[in-house]
Amino acid sequence: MLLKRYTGNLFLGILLFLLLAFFFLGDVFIPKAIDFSGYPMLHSVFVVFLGLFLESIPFLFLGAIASSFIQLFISEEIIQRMIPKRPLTAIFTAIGAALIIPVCECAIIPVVRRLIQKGVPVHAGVVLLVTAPILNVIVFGSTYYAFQNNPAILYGRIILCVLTAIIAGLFIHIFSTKDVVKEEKVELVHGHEHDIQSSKWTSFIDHASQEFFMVGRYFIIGALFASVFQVFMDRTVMADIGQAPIKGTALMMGIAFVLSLCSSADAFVAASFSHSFLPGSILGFLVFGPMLDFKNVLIMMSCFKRSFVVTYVLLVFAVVFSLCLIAGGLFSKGGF
Amino acid sequence: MKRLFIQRLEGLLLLGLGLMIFKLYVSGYLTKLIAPKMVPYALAALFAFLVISLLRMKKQKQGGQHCDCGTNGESSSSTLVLKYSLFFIPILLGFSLTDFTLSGEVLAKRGMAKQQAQMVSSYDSGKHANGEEISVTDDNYFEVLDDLLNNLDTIEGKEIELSGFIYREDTFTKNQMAISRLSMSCCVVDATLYGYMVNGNVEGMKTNDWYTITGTLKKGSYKGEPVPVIDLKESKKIKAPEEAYLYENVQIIQ
Repeated sequence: MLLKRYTGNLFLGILLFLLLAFFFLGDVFIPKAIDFSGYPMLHSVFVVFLGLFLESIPFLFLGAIASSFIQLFISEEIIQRMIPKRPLTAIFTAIGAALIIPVCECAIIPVVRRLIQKGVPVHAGVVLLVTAPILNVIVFGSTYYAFQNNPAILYGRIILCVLTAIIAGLFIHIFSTKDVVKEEKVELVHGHEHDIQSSKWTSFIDHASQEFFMVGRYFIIGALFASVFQVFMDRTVMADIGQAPIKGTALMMGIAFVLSLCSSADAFVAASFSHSFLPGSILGFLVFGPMLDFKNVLIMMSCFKRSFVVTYVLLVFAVVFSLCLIAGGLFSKGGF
Repeated sequence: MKRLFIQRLEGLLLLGLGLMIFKLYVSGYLTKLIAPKMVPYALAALFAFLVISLLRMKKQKQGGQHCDCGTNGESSSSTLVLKYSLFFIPILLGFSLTDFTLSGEVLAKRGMAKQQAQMVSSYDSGKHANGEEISVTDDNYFEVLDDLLNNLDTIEGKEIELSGFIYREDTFTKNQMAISRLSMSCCVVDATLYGYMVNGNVEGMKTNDWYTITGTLKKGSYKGEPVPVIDLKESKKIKAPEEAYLYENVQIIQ
């Protein structure tokens, strides 16, 4: 026991030393030792990955904190009282909540997991997952600016998002089981009562940190994949398929999935596609991207059972795809 | 004991993440990865990481102790370290990278974006396009581009001066290049390329090098779209500026 403790601390000590060494000297030695200039693509993958990581990490952390706050300070009774019994009312309550909650996709997933554990019905949770990234003022603002010439895109984005939420929520209500949350060993441990105030705060920190590292692990894998696609995908070739409504929509949704952009930034990227793709396809990009992408799916894997993740992915894809085709039809008829 | 080990490992990683953000911020690299409006969030995260890392380092007293019943009991130390080791990727990258530019090949796969009348606060149409000499700065970049695109027919022969880096695509002839800038709205992931096509004797100008050029404008095309094109008159090589990116400032509608 003593020996183990000793090696553990030794290991950590060495780690701390290495961290500090890299902190002070990393940029002096590493570029000399490994020259990236021969591998511009690899270098760009690293840069993109680091950008994605730095952009998302504050929100991932916020999500972990919010989730452990719910876990420790909000009792199941309060939640039971707040959530309406009837499924449709619950869905609309969730949409309203999504409008108020100012978080995007990275933060919402652990929060929803915790809410479902606390007794929020799964369909309301799904509605939150679908709407929270899109229904907030920052996303409205950036979409508005990026598509000033074509406000129908902004309205379309909001309307399709709400419709997707309602359809997906009802579907989940009718077909899905309640048992969707991935059980963690940690969970059982922290089920104990924490009656002393100070211990509650300790376990709050404990929880938030554990949650952050669990979700962060998956996020890093997702972000690595996304940055490889970001760098290697040739967007100029895509333009040739852009004018076919069905293929174009599917393609734009696929691009949104692999690029893993943040929902408040994706409108500008969508705008850069808008001269080669139809408005219906652009909507596919704008609606599907925030709901699902590489990093999201991996974060979901860390929180939910695999069967639920698969159902959710297929369901959201099918609903958004068909809604976008309908919207595209309306666009081409000049209905807007 | 394993519990304490994990707790301290997490603390150490949080410290590493915090130091990574700190180093990037102090050295000024942070805004090459994320836009200025995201910096406060990163700094808040830095603060939170450092505080929590300190809390994680210290041995917990009685309070946290009764959480010590078999957490992570099944996984061995080595798998644990493996799970956490993923976090060393961003930490080490942040500590060691010094060059945060995207390579020209990567940009060529994205293509130049067409200006979408975006992020342009209201200005008098023709303000730039009707002036005799157009001088492009970081502040009026989008305004000028927007104005020129809207008044393509009247810009023939106007003088323009601007700085940017040289960008080329495979389809460009040897007398063609683009003088371009990258803009970001949240982070380097959504970096978008804007630019002007330039015609003239440009063979000697290397892709990705920064130049200030002067030339005369005319109407031309890029990928079938009408755009302003510059006939090169003079060019001067310059150093890449500190603020290489243009930031799209999205103001929330008031």
